[in-house]
Amino acid sequence: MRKRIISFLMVTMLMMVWLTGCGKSEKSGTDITADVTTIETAKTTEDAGAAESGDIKKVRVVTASSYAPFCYLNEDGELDGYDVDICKAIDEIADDMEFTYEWCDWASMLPGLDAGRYDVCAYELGKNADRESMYHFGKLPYSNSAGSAIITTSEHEDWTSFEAIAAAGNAHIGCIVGSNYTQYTEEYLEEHPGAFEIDYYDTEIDAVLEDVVNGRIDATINDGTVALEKAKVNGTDQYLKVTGYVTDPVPVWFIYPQSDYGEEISALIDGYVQKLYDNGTLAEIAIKWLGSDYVISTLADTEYFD
Amino acid sequence: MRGLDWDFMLENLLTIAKGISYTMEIAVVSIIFGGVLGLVTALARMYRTPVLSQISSVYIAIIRGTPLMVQILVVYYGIPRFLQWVNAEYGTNMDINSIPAIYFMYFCFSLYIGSYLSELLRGCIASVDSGQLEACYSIGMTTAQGMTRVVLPQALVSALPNFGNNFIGLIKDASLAFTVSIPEILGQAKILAGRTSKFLEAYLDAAIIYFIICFISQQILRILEKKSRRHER
Repeated sequence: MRKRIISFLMVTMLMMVWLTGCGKSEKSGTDITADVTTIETAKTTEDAGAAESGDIKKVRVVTASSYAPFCYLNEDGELDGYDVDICKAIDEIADDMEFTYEWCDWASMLPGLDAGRYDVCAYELGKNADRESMYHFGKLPYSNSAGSAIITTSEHEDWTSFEAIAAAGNAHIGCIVGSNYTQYTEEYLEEHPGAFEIDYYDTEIDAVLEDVVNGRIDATINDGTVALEKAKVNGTDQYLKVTGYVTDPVPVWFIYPQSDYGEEISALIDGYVQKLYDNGTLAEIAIKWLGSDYVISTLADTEYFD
Repeated sequence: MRGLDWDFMLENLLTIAKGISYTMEIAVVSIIFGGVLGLVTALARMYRTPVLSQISSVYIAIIRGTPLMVQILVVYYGIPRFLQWVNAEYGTNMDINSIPAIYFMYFCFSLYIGSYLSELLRGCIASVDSGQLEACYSIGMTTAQGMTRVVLPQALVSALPNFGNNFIGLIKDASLAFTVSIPEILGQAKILAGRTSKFLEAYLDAAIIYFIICFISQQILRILEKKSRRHER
């Protein structure tokens, strides 16, 4: 018996040594590959530089895969949508940049910037103090979000503001974690405790809308255009209505990591955004995806554009 | 490289701890109902009870063959859709939306863990020497009496360590419940992270809390195990 225990212990120890050893070699392995990639990128940029003069900046754009019409995977499985088209328009006029597109879950999007996996995030995001302290923003927004709409069923057509919802008493508002809309809702609730209840969701907006239709929650705050687009696809648009807006249009920004490279590409991209705004391309893209250039024309009222 | 915001982590440990009640409710309720379900299906399969044993086999195959995440989404969004259809088809008026989401989770997690416990219990019951049940028959006990008085007590003792493992697993699996807006531990962390963008801090807080409750649960289970094996000393 004792022999067995000893041999068992020895095997366990061997396994542990082996496992930790593996972990180490694996780590150094990735380190090496990381080095190789940097060398390779450096090389390609060098080559390109030699060929065309000035180096090509590789920009890895990250966005989400199911936020139509802003960003979604089209029938060919490629990223498409309003935000993606704006990036593509920038890529087209920028001789010194080359964009690649990736998508991931919202939960790992900004951490992906931290980790250096992506260079810029284009996901209809607004500014707030926390984000500003942790990420780099350019000087120009690339769009305006139409403002947070209240989306609810025809039962609550008089819910045109947070006040109206509060007056109904004990309403449940569905909010997606991390979105600007959630932030406005939380801010209102903080000022008016008990006005309504927030039910948090970690899903895409479809599931929240499904729950509004099902009556599990009474309303949600989100982008009205997106919501109605989704509802149309899901066949629930007959039940859902945008009854009011709770905020004015809010500028939408590219978000970069706080690094030299992030600052460098943001300065370049700002220049191209200005160009696209001036020549009307941004407005065209807005009309193509959103049906009107409201989100671009309202930028003229902001401090950022003339 | 930004450092960690330790003050933030400390301040918000309690915010995230608010989710413990949901997590533990799901784990405890599910292990109880799942245990009963597992026992019934295990016995049905061992004794080849007609109909019930076939249903049990299909149930176990389905649950073990699909991810828990998918089961949660199907149960939570599928059942209302199904009832809508039933209502439209048969003119009934069932409304399931007044049932809080957590009950769907009890249902879902019980089904899930039940299938695993069923396999576990089947093995443990089979491991009790068949001579013991024969001995029960020889002194005039019925199968049910032999089972409840002799076989099951032994089988359950040998199943206890694995029961514990499954319970600890459930605590962690309960983190999937936030998909359907149950604000459990990881859910609280995600809400906080979404609000403040301090993702890593929030997730580390959640990890600490999970570790603490799992550690405590392990100790409790160890004591239970020791007690249940007293007669073997």
